Amino acid sequence: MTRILYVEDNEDNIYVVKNRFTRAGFTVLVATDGEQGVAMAAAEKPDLILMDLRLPVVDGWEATRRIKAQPETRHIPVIALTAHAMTGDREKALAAGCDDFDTKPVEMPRLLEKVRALLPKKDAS
Amino acid sequence: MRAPRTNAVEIFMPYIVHHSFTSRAVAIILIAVLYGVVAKLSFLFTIPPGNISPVFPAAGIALAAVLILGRPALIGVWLGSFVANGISFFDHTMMSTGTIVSGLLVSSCIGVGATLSAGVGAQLVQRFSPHGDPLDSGWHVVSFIVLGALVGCLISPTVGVLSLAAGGYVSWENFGYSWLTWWLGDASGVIFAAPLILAWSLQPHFRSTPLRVLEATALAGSVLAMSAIVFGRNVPLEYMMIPLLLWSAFRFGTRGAATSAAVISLCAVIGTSQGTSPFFKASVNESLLYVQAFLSIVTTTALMLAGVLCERYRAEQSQREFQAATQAKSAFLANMSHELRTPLTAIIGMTEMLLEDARDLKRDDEVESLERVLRASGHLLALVNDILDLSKIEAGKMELDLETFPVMAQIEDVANTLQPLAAKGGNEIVVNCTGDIGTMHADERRVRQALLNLGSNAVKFTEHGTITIAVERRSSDGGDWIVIHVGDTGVGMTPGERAKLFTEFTQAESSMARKFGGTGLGLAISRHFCRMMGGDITVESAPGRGSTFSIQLPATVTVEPAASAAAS
Repeated sequence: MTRILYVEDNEDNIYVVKNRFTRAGFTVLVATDGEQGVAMAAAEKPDLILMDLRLPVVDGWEATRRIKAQPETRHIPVIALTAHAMTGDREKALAAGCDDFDTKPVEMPRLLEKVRALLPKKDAS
Repeated sequence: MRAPRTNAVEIFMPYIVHHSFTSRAVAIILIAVLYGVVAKLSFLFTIPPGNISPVFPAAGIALAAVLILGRPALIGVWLGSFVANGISFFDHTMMSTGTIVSGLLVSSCIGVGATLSAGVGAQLVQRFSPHGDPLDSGWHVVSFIVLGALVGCLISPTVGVLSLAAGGYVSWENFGYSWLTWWLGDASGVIFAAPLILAWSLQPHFRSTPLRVLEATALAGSVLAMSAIVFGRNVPLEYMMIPLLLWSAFRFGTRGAATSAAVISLCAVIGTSQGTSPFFKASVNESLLYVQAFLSIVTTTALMLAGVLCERYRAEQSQREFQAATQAKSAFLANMSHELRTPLTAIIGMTEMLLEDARDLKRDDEVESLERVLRASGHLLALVNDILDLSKIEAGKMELDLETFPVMAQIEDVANTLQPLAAKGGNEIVVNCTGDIGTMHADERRVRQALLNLGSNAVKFTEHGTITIAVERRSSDGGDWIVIHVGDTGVGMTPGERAKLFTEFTQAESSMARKFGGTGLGLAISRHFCRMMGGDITVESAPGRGSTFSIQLPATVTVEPAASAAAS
C-alpha cells in the first residue's frame, strides 16, 4: 500500500488529511515538526511526503532541503502545502527542492491528482 | 517664575485645571515680581522726552505668561506693571496727596494697558495657532510676530502715553515720539523674551547627545564671544550675529534661536548703554532703538527658519509613523488571515468528510445542512483571501507572477467552471472569438481570477439569459492588447450604481449581497490586478439591459507598470 508521510503541526489538519487519505486508500504517517519529518523520512522511506511549510523546530523549507540533501531520501517526492496568496512561499518551496505545491485549504480531488502524478506508476493504481 | 515643562497640547490648558488656588496665587505673584523687576530694570534706559524705555522685555514675559498659564496670569501682569510704574513715579516726584493720587491713577492705567496688550495679543496668537506651540511653523511664527508683537503691542503705548499725557507727565506735542518709543520697546521685548520662555517651556524636538552638548557649548561660546567683541569693544561686525542665529536655528531649533537672540539682545542693550556698540548714535537711548530694530529683524528671521524646520521635522515624523503603521497593519492582516484560515481549513475539511458519509448513508436532511455549512465556510474563506489580497495591494506588496499561456484555453476553462452555476439560473454561456488570439504574457492566476469574477457576477445577476464572453486581439502602436468582454442580459445598473462598482465592499444594493452572495471585494481586486498589469477593467450598462465588463490587458505585460500601480 502507498505510504504518505504528512508533516504538519495542526491537529485538526492532521485529522482531516489523515482521514481522507486513508479513505482514498493510502497509509498516512504523521510527523508534527520539521526535524521529526526529516527523521521519519529517513526511517520509514515513505512513497511521498506532504510538507506543511510553517512548522515548529525546523520549518518546512529547511526540512525539505535536508530530505533532498540525503542520498537515501532524495528520491522521495515532496508536495509543499502553502497558505493561499503568500507570495514567496511557493517560490521558496520550489527552490528548497519541493516537487510540487498545493494551497490550503486542501481540495481533495486536486491534491489527489497531484499526489498520483508524482507517485511511481506501479503504485498509482 | 519657572515655566512648567509641558507638552505642546497642554500648554494652553488653563492653569486652573491642574492646580490648586494656592499654587495659582503663587504663580500670579511670581509673574508680578518677574514683570516688575524686569520692567524696573528697563526703566534704566528711558528716553528723556516722557521717560519711555525703548527696551521692554517685560511685555514678552506678559504675553508668554498668558499663553502658557491662561487668563489668571493677567492679574500678575497688572500687579507687576502697577507696582513698577508706581515706584518710578515716587522716585522723582515730590510727595503730595495730589501727586500720590495722580501717580497711582496713571500707574494703574498703564497696568491696564499692559494687561490688555498681553491678553489681546495672546488671544490673537491662539486664534492662528490653536493647537499649541505658536512657534512650530513658519506661518505660526509670522502670525506670532505680526499679531503678538506688532498688533498686540499697539494697546499698551496708546493707553500708557494717553495716561501720562493726561497726568501731565508727557507733553502732547511729544505724544507721537513717546508712543513710537514705547511701541518699539514693547514689540521688540515680545520678540526677544516671549519666544525664549515659550521655547523653554515646551518639549525640545532634539535629543541631547554628548556631541550635541559639545556643539551647544561651542555655539554658546561663539555667541558670547562675538557679542562681547561687537557690543563690548565697538567692533562693527554686527552682521556676524546673522550666521550665529542661523546656526542656532538650524541646529537647535526654536529653543536655540530664541536663546541666542535673547543673549545677543541683552549684550547689545548693555553695550549700547555703555556707548561701546557700533549702533551708538547721538544718545544712548536713541541708539537702543536702532539696535533693537536690527536685532528684531534678525531674530524674526531666525525664528521663522526654526519654525519651518520644526514643521518639516514634524512632517517627516508623521511620515515615519504612517509608514510604521502601514507596515504593522499589513503584518497584522497577513498574520490574522493565516490564523483565520487554519481553523477554516479544518472546518471545511471535516465538513467535506461528513458530507461524504451522509451521502453514502443517504441521509438527505443532513446532506443539505452540511452543504450549507460548506457554502458558508467557503464564503468566509473567500472573504479572508480577498482581504489579504487587498491588504497586500494596499501595502504595495503584491507581486505579479508573469508567464506565457494560451488565452483561449484559459477562457474555455473559466467558461467550463462557470457552466454548472449558469445552468442553475437557466443561463447559457457563449464564447466568441475573432481570429487567432494566440498566447499572452501575464499573471495567469490573476487573469483567471479577474475573468472568473466577471463571469460569476454576470451569472449571478442574470436569469434565463445569455452570458457572452468575447475575446479579441487588438494591435495598436503601443503593442498588442488582449480584450475580453463579458456581457450579460441581466438586471443591469444605473449610472450611480456603476460609479460605486469598483469600491471595496459595495454592491449596487446591500440587499443584493444577501441575494446574490459575493464579498463585494472581487471587482475592486480584479481591477487592481489589471491595472498592475498595465491594463484596466471598464463597464457599460443600463438598467434592465444587462452589463458588459471589458478586461483590457497588454498581450505582453512588463513589470514596470506593476510597480507604479502598486505604489499609487
